Amino acid sequence: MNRVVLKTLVMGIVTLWGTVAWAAPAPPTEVQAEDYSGDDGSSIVVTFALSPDDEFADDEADASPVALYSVQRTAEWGGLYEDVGGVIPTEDEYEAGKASIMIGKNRRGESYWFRVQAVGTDGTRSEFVYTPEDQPTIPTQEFFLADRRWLAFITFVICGAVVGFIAWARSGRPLKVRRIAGLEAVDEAVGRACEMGKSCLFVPGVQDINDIQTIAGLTVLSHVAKTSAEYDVQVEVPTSRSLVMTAARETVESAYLAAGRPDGFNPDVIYYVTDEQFGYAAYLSGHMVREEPAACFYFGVFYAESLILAEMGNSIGAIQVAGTAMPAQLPFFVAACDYTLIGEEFFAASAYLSGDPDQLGSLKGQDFGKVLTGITLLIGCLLATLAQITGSQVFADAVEHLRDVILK
Amino acid sequence: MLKNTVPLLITATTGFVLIVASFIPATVSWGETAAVWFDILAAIAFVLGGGNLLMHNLKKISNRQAGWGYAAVTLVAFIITLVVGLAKFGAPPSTNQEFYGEVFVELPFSAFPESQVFSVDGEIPEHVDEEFNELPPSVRNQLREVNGTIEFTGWMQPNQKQDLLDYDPSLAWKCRIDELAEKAQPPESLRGKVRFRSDHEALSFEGVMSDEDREALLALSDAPEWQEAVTTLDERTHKQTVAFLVTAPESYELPEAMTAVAEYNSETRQLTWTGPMTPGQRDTLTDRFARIKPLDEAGREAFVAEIEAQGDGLSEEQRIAFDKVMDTAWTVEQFAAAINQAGIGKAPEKTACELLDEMQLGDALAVNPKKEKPEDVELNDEQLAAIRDFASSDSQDIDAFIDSLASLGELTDAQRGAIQSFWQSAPTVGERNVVLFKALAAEGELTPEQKQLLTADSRAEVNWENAIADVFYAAHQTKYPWSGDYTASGSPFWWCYEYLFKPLTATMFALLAFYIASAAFRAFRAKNVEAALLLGTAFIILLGRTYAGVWLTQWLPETSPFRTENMSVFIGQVFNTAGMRAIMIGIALGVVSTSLKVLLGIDRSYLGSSDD
Repeated sequence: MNRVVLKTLVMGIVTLWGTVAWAAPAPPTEVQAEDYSGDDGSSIVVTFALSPDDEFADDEADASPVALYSVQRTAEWGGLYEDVGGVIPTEDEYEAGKASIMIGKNRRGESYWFRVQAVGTDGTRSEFVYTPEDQPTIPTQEFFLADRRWLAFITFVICGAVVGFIAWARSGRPLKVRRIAGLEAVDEAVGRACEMGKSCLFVPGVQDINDIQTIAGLTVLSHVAKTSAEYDVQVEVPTSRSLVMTAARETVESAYLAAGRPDGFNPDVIYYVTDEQFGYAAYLSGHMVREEPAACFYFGVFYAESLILAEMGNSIGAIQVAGTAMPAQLPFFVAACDYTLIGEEFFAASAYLSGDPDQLGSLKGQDFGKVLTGITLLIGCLLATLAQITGSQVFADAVEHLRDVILK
Repeated sequence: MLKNTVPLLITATTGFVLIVASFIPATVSWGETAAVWFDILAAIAFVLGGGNLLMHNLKKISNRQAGWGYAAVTLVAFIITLVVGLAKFGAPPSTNQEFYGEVFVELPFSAFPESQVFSVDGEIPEHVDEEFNELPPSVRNQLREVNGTIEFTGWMQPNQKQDLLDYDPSLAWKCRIDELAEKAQPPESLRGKVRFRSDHEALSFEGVMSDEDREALLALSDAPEWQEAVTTLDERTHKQTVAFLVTAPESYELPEAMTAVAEYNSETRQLTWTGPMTPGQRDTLTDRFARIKPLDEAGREAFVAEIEAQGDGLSEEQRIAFDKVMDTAWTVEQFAAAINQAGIGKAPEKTACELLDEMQLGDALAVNPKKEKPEDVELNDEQLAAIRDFASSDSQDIDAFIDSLASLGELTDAQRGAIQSFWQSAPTVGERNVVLFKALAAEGELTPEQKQLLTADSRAEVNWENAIADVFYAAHQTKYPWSGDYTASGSPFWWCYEYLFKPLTATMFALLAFYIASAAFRAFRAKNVEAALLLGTAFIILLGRTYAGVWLTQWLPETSPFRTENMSVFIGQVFNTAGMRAIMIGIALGVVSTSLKVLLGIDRSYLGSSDD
C-alpha cells in the first residue's frame, strides 16, 4: 500500500514538474488590426496585449519564458495563414503591457485577418489568438502621407517665406544684400581678359542638367556671357554632359542677344568633351596650358578634379572664381582660386548678379529659413541639455519627438 | 515667346509633380514617369554629344588649331571604342540569357497547336484596386477567361505557375492554378524535353530528339508552320560536335549514361557529341577524379614519406600545417550526421485543393497546411559500419555505396540525396593537394619535385575541366549572340578599358597628390592670425595621422585630450563637423530657394534671359 502511495506521489511530482517546465506560454490577448492611416494603403498595424506569462526582467535568471510573438496573416477567413513578422517587446511595451507591429505589403482594398501566438524560449508555442471573422482589416490609400506632414509643413513655411519676401520686394521696399567679393570679381575677371586680349574659360561642373548646382552654374554663365559680350571677350564652355552643352548654348546665345551683340555669338566654343571625370579634367588641363585663358570660372558640381583644375589655372596665372555646393571640394577651391563662393553664396549668385528685386527677395526667404533652423537648433540643444541635467522623461521625450518625428 | 515659355512650363510642371509625388501617394507614379522621361532624354543626348564631339574635333584638325594632334587621337579613340563597344567584338553571349542544353526554333504564338489549349472551370479573380488586376507579364499572352473557364495556351513553365499563384492569395485560385498547371503540360513522353517559351516566341528541345519524340510532336498539329518548326528542331538536336580530348588518359571511357549521345575513340581521342550538352552532362563528364577520404595516422605517415621522398624532410611547422590540412577532411561522424539529419521526417505540405476541401468541410480555423509527419529514420549499426568501411576503402563508387547502405537497413530518398550531396561537396585529391602545397610553402621551402607531386593532380583536373568546357560551348547553339556584356573579360573593349583607360585615369588622379602639396603650401602661409590658426590646426591634424605624432605624446595617458591623435580626432569630429553642417544647412536652403525660383519662372537666366 505504501509503495502505491509512493508511486502515485512520485508520478504526481513528475507530472507537475513537466507541466511547469514544458508548458507552452499563455497566449497573448486583445489582438486587433487597424489600417495604418496616412500611407499608400499597404500597411496595417497589429496590436495585442502581452501574454500574462511575459514579464520584463533585468536579470537573465528571471528572464521571461516568452521569446517572441509570431504574427500571421491571411487574405480569406480560415484560409492559409502566412508568417508576416515577429515581435520582441521593448521595455516601453512591457510597461504598457501591449505591443504592436506594422505589417507591410498588403493590397489596397482587400480584406485581411491576423492571428498572434506567443513562442516560448524552449520553442513551445501558445494557442493562436485571432482577429474576429466579422471585422476584417481593409487597408486604404490616404490622400496624404502622414509620416511626411512635418516635412510638408517645413517646406511650406520656407517656400512661403521665399514667396512672401519676393512679394515684399515687388512692393518696392528696399532690400539690403551684403557684398559678395567673389561675384564682384566676375566683372573684374572678364575685364582683365579683355585687357589681355585672351579668352575666358567657364566650367559648369561634371554633373547633368538635372542637378540644381548645374542650373545655378548656368545662371552665373548667363551673366559672364553677357559681360563678355559687352567687352567682346570669347567665353569657352567645354561641358562633360551633352544636355548641359545644349542648355549652355541657349544661355550664352540669349546673353549675347540681351547684350545687343547677337552676331558675336559663336556656338562652336560651347562643346561636349566627355562624360568621364578624369578625361574631362585632362582635356581642361591641356586646354588651359595651350590657350592660357585670362580668367577661369568653375561653377557647378566638382569632385576630385576640382584641385587639378584650380591648380592648373593657378599655374597659368589666370584669375579664378569658383562656386560649388560640394563641401569636400570647397577647401581645394579656397586654397587654389582667387575667389570662392561657398555653398549658399553660389545659389545666391544669380540673384546678386541680376539685382532683380524678385530674386533678391528670395535671398531674404533663405535668411528666414536660417533663422528658423537656428531657433530649432537652440530649442533642441536646450531640451537635450535639460534632459541630461534633470533626467526628466518629459524633456527626453521632447528631444526624441523633435529628432524622430519633426525632423525625420 | 514660345522658346522660353514652353521649357518653363515643362520645368515647372515636372518639378511640381515631383514635389507633389513625395507627399501624395496617388501621384507617386507621376513622379516615376517624369524620371523615366528624363532618362529617355538623357539617352538621346548621348547621340547629340557624340555628334558634337566628332564635329568639334574634325573642325580642329581641319583648321590645324593648337592641339589638333590631340583632337586626332581623341577621334581615333572615340571611333575605336564606339565600334568595339557597339559590335561587342569578342564578348561571349550572356550566360543568364542562354539556355544551355536546349536548342531553339522560332515559333510565333499564333502557330502553336490549337490542341494544346487547356482549361479549368473558374474565373480570374478581380481585385478592388485596378493595379492588382493586371495579369503577370509572363502569362499575359497565354491566359484568358472564356465563359466561366480559365484557358491557358501552351505548356505552363514553373515560373509561370509561381507568377499565377502570386496573383491572388485565395485557396480557390491556387487550387485552380494547380489543376491548370497539371493539365497544361506536353504529352507524357515529351515532358521535361520540349518547352514553348512564349516570351521568346520559340519552341525548345532538351537533348537529342528521338524518332518517337518527333512523331509525337508532329502529331500535335498539321499546320505547315508547326510541322516545319518541329522538323528544324529535330535537325538542330542532331548537330554533331567533334573535339579531341588530348588530356584524356589512355584508359578513359565515356560514362555509360553518355553513350547514347556521344562516341569516344580512345586511340585518336576524338569525342563526337550529338546535340547540345546540358550542364548536368558536363558535370558528369568533368567528375572523374577521386575525392578525398579521411586519412588515418598510417595514411598520413605514408603521404608525408611520399612528399619527403621527393626532396627535403618537412620542418616541424610544415608538419603542423600538414596535419591541419588533413584535419579538414570529412569524418565518418560528419557523414553519418548528415545522413541522419536528412532522415528526420518532414511533414509534407498539403496541396491548395486539399486545403480548400478541408476549409469548406470543417472548422475553418483548424486547417493545418501540413500533412502527418513521417517517422524519423536513423542509420543502424550495420549501416554505420558500412560508412566506416567506405571511408577506409579505396572505392569511389558512391552509387554502389548507397545500394549497400540500402541493403543493410531503411534509407529514404532524402538520405540518398544527402549522401550524393555530401560526396559531391568533398574536395578532390587534386584540390586538397593544392591547398596542402600552399600551406607547406607558406611554412618553409619545397623542392620543385615536391611542388610537382602536390600540384600534378590539380593541373590534370583543371586541364580536363577546360577540355570539357570547350566541348560544352562548342556543342551549344547560341540563341542571343549579342546578349553578352561589352566589357566581358578578354574582349577588345575590355582590353582598351583595362590597359588604356584605367592607367590614364589613374595617372590623372595621381596628379592630385602633387597638387595637394602645392595648394597646401600656399594655403598654410601664416600671413595673418586666421592663416596662422589654419596652419596650427593643419599641423595638429597632420601630426595626429602620423606615427611621429603618436610617438611624441605617447607619455600622456591614452585618454588624454592632449595626445596628438586624440586632438586630431577631436578637431575632425567637433570643429570640422560643426562647420560642415553649417555649410550644409546653407546649401539646403539655397537649393530650396533656387529650385523655387526656377519652378516659378522668377529666375530664367539659365534660359538666357529674364524676359520673354
